[in-house]
Amino acid sequence: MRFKKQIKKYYQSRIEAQKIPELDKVLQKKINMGRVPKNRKDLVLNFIFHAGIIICFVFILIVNSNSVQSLQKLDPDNQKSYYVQQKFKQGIEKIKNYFRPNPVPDKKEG
Amino acid sequence: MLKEKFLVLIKSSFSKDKKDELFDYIWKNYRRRISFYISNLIPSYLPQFEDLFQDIMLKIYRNLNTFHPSSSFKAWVYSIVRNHCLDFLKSHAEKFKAPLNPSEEFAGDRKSPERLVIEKDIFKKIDFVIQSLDTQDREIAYLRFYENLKYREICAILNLDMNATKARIRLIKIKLQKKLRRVL
Repeated sequence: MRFKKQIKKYYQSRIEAQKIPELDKVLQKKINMGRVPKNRKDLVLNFIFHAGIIICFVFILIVNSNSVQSLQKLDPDNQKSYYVQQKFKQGIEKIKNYFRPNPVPDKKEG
Repeated sequence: MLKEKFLVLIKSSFSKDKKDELFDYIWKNYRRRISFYISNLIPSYLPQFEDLFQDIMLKIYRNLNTFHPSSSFKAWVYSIVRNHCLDFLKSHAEKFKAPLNPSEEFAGDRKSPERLVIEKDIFKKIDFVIQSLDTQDREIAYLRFYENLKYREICAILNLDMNATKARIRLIKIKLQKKLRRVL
């Protein structure tokens, strides 16, 4: 019994004398960032999500460049696009005028 | 009280806050033991010791949710520590062939000077025997005599056979008793 007690005391004194490094700031930061997904499942989902975004981006780039090229073929001197733009502006103005209140008649005129 | 709270926490589901609280408890109560256990495997004077300690603490934190409450927490912690140290030793195999230096450091407390001198003498003798053991026997001695782990838990941590572990513990005990017969 005394033997066991002494061994325990020995270990206790060794443990108490053990120099402990402080909790590293980097470790503390990592702990605070513990919300970062660590599971393989999360990582796979993350990968799929990002890969999807990249594919969409590439697709838009390709489609966009094609449509620009075909428009240039149809309208080389930008006449048609200018006409469409003007029509569009006129349409917008008409809509705005429709919603604008009627002008109040001037009393002096009457 | 703390222990009870710890058990409640560990048995409940893991949220970020609970995980932090648990880790705080481990940091307060186990850091010295963990550091001491590492020093049984890797010399504490090495510059990599601190990094290794931090890595192990981070590993424990990250793996807290993998701990199964039905198993022994101490055994789980020491398995992580041991496996990490072994990986480290494997990757730095050439550097760590030198044996560990026996420690002369013991913590003093409020005891009479005579008692302290006697105790220090006993501790030195115990230390001499412990340091003369090979690394695995040192681990076994610590896990059995200080942490009071069961045979099967020690076997699980060290990947050893039950009978071999029992025999080794008996041998360590005999060695220590022989050495300490005169002083105790």
